[in-house]
Amino acid sequence: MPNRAAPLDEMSEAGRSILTAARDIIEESGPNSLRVSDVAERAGVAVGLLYHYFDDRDDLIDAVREAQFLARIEADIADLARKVGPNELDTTAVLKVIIDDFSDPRSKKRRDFRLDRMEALAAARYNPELTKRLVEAQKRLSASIRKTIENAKADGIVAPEVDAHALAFFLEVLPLGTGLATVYADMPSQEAWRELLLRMLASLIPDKPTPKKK
Amino acid sequence: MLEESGESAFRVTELARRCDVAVSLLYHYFRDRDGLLAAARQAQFVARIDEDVAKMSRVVTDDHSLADVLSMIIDDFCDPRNEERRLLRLDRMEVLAATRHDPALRDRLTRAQAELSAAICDAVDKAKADGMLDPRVDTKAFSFLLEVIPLGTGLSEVYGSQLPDDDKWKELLLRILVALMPPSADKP
Repeated sequence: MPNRAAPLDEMSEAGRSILTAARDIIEESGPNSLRVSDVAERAGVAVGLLYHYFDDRDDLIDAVREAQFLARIEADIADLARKVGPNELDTTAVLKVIIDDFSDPRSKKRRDFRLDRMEALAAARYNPELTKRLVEAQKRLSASIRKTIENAKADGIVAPEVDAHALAFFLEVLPLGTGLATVYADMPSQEAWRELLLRMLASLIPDKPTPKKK
Repeated sequence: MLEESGESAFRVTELARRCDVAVSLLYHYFRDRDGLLAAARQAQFVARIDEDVAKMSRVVTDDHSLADVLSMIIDDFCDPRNEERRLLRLDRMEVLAATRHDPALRDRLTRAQAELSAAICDAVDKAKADGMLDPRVDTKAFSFLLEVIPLGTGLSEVYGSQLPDDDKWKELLLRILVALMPPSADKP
């Protein structure tokens, strides 16, 4: 397990079960009806312990939003970094993980996860405290995506003139926006969508010298 | 009212008071509280997008250059720093997330989205006919992409200082879009 400074990652079993309980309640009936005592009961902990982990009700709701925002993304970034890593350097594998996994509009799991992120983003609009938390979290995510991109450049998978900040942003924007599939009846065929993304992403690969024919 | 205090605090009587109409008139237009909420959500979801779609078909049909089309997509639709766009994207995200617990809302948005998609597909086909887009590019896939990227750009909300430079972001989008042009086109 990598060491991270995020408080969510350092949380104990009890802290996590509190978060899960709060999250379930928010999903069932929205944040307005969330009661701290209900959360504690569902998580099977004393209310006092809940307040050990979270300052107050608002802090707990923000923590749920942050967890929603981060869930899965960290695993994705680690996955991407591994594909670009020295042991598995393979352009096809890198493209495959971006196209067939991150940006797959048909995956039910991905869809839920994208909508989670959207919900957290929308909630941040009226909540400066939550915005601050998400900005901090995003800073860590962006830094690790950029690091992977720099490695990919060094390995010749990404053209050196492609801006790492811009590509890192794009690599999150594309999968997130794919959440639109939720209300899309007439989706492009899987093959056509893959082909389009492949063509776009291929434009970021450096021109390789064509092998000489003998 | 939804923006101010969320859905659960929403009262039909208060809305009628604000709009200065009788509650009965309100029920004449909207079947019930849920019908009204769904209509508001749909309006949030479609707001501005139908204007964008109209602009898109105008720009590809009239005597506009490829540069105009690219500028519309890159400098307008996908601009992460545009304040109005930022709010619009978050509106759309909020509504999309709300469909999870509301199948009727999802059906409604799916119908609205189908109309938007059809209009975007028309514009994309025209762009192909005009030699702006490689005919081998799939119309539906590209139309989907034309909504996916602007929507995803809403992530800028929490990007803070990590946001790419304006120039660099535009350069990246341009490079990606140029790759979708016909091989013979005069590339900008």
